[in-house]
Amino acid sequence: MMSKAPKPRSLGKRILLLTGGMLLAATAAGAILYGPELLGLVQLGKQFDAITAENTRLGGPWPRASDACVSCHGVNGNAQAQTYPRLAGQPEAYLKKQLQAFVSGERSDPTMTPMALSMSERELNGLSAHFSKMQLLPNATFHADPARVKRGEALAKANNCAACHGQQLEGKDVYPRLAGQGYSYLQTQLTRFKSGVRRDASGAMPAVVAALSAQDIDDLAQFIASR
Amino acid sequence: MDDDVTIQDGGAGQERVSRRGFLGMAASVTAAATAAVLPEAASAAVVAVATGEGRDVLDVAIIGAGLAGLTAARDLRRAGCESFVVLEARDRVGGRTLNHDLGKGYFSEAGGQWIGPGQTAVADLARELGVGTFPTYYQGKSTILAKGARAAVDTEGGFGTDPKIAHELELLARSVPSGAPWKSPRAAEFDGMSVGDWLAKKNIEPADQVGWSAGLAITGGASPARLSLLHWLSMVNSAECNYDRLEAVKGGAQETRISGGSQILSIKMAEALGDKVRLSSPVLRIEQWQNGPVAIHTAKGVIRARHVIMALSPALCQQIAYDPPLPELRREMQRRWPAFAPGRKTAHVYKKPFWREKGLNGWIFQPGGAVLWAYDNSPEDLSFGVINAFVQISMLPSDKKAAEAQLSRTYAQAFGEEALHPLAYHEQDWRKADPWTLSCVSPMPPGFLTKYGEALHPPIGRLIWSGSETADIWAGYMDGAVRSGHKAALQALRAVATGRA
Repeated sequence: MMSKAPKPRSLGKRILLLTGGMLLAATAAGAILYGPELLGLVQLGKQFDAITAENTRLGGPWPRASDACVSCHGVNGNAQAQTYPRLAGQPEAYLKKQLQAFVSGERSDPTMTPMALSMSERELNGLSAHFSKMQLLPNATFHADPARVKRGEALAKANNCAACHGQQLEGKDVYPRLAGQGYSYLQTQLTRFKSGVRRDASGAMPAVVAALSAQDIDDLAQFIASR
Repeated sequence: MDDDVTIQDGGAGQERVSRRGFLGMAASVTAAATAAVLPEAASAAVVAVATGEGRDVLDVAIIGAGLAGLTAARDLRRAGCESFVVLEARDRVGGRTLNHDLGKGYFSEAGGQWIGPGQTAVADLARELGVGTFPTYYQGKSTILAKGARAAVDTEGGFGTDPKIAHELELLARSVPSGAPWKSPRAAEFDGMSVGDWLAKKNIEPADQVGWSAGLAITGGASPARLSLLHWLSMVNSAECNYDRLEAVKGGAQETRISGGSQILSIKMAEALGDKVRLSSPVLRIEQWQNGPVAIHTAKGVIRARHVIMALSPALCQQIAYDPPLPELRREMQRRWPAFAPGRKTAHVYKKPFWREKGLNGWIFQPGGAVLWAYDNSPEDLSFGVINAFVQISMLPSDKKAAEAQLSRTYAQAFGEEALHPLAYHEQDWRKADPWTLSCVSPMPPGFLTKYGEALHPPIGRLIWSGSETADIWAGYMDGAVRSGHKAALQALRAVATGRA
C-alpha cells in the first residue's frame, strides 16, 4: 500500500535531493567523483534551467501563452512538418489579420476557429507580436525537386508574386512571408484559394490561382518552400 | 514486480486475436459496406427524402461507429430494438481508437488505449466481449533527455508531479462534479482562471514546470495557460479526486491495456451488428430534427429515423449542416468547442524490448524536444518490443522516413544503439489523417464551461447527444464513450416507447 512507498517527491525535488544541490559539478571531473548517473542528473538540472531561461527570454515567464501553439507550429513558430504553417518571422499585421479572420469566420478551420475564439483580442495581438519577432530558421526538412522548383520559379515570376509578397517573398504588412513556408501547407492553401474555401476579400489570390493547374500549384509550392 | 508480464485473468472468454481473425472481421465489415453501396442490397431505409412517412422510417439512427455509437447500438439490440442503423463516415469502425497491425496477430495503438481504476464501463464491455486485459509496463527507470543531457530516474509509474500541489487540486476537485462542472458552487471562480494562472502562484521550480507542461499536454491536451482550472478539476473529480488515478500509469488511468489493441472492442461490436453498420457514409445534413421523422443526408443517400443518437464530439457535430439551424446556445457551443488538441502518435517496433534488460521502462520525457512521452507498448507475450510515443506534431518532419530516423536517434540516446534499427515504424497524425476526428481530448479553455456547458447534454428535438464528451464520469476517455453510449440508448428507447404510447 501507499504507506510502504518512499515519500513521494516531485521530479524537481528529486533531482535536487539526488544531486545534493551540487549543480556546479557538471564537469568531466564530476563524472569521476559522482558517477555517470549523478552526473546525468546534474547536467539535466542545468539543461532544465537553461531551457527555462531561454523560453522565458523569448516568451515571458512560465506558463506562457505561446506554449499553446508549439505542437502544431513548432518551437518558436518553426514547424518541421511541412503540413503546418511556420509562423516565425511572419509580419505582425498578417498574423493579426488572420487570427481576426478566424474569429470573424472569414477564414475557417476546425482547429484554428475555436482556438482563436477562445482568446481575447489582447491575447491574439500578443501572440501575433510574439511570433513576428521569432527568427525563422531554414526549412531544412523539405527536400525539393529541382525541376519542379525551376518551373515554380517561372510561375512565381509570371504571376508577379513579388508585387505583394516582396522581392525575396519575405512578406510585408498584411501580406505573408512565403519563403521557407511548409510545402504541403502552401499546396493546401493555394488549392483552397482556387476552390473558394479560403477567401480573400481583395480578390488578389483568387485571381492569381484561378489559372493555375494542380501541377502549377505543386510546382509553385516547391519553389516557395525551397526559398 | 519482475520483468515477466503477467496476463491478468480475462476469464474464459479471453482470446488472442489472430491475424486471420482480424482480417476476417475486416472482411465482414467491408462486405457490410459494400452491401450498403449496391442499390439492390440497399435497405428499405435508404430512400429519397421525398418519399412519405411509412415503414421506411427507422426508430433510431446512430451517427458514429466509435465506442459510444456501437455501445448504444448494442444496447438497442439487447433491448429488442432492431429498427436502427449506425452511420460511420470512415471506412472503418473505432473512432479515436485505431490499431496499427504489426503482423502475426499483434497490434499497437494509434489512438486511445488504456483502462484505469474506476473505469468500470469499458472494463465490463471488454469482459462481455471476451477481450482480455494486461498491465501497462512501467517497472524500471524512466529516461529524461534535455538537449545533450540524459538521466534515468525511477518515477515509480507516474510523471513525477509534485504530490503536495496535486493534493491541493484533489481537495478543490471535490466541489466540481465531473459530469457538470458548471454546477460547482465555485464554478465562476475556477472557470475564471487557467491551470497556469493557478500554478503561477505556486512558485514552481524549472524542473517541475516542464513536468507540469508535459503532464497537462498528455492528459489535458493543452498547455497550462489554455486549460480552464474548472475543467481540470472536473477531470480530477472523474478520477475520484485522486490525482495519480488520473495521471499515472501505476494505479492510474493508463494502468491497463487491452489484448488485441483497443480498437478490437469496436471491431467486435461491429462484427456482431453486421449490416446495421454502414461505413463510408459521412452525414452531411440533418433536416426536420425538431419533430421528425428526421432526414439524415449522407454521401450515400438519405436515411429517415424518428430519433437520432449523435455519437460524435461536439466539434464533429459542428461539421454537419442543420435545417432548421440548432438553437443558439447549442450552435455557439459547437462552434467554439475546443477541438484544438490534435495528436500525433508513433510506434517503433523492435525484435524485443531490449531496454527492459537495462533496467529501463521504455519511457522517455524530452522537454524542449519532439517526444512528449514515449512508453513501452510491447505485446503481452513480448513477441516484439514496441516503443509508442506521443510527439509534438511539428517537431518531427512530416516525411515518415525522416520522422522515424529522428525518433530512432532520440531512442538511441535514451536506450542505446539497438534503438537505431527498428523492424517497422507506424504513425498517425490524427489531424491530417482524415477530417473525422479533429481532436483527441477537448482542452476546455477558461470561461467555456460556465457559458456553454448547459448545452452539452439536453436532447434537442429528436437529437440525443452522445460521445465521450457527454459522459458524467471519465468524459474524454474510452470509458466515458461507453458510458455515453449506454445513456444514449436508454434515452432513445424511452423516446421510442413514448412515441408509441
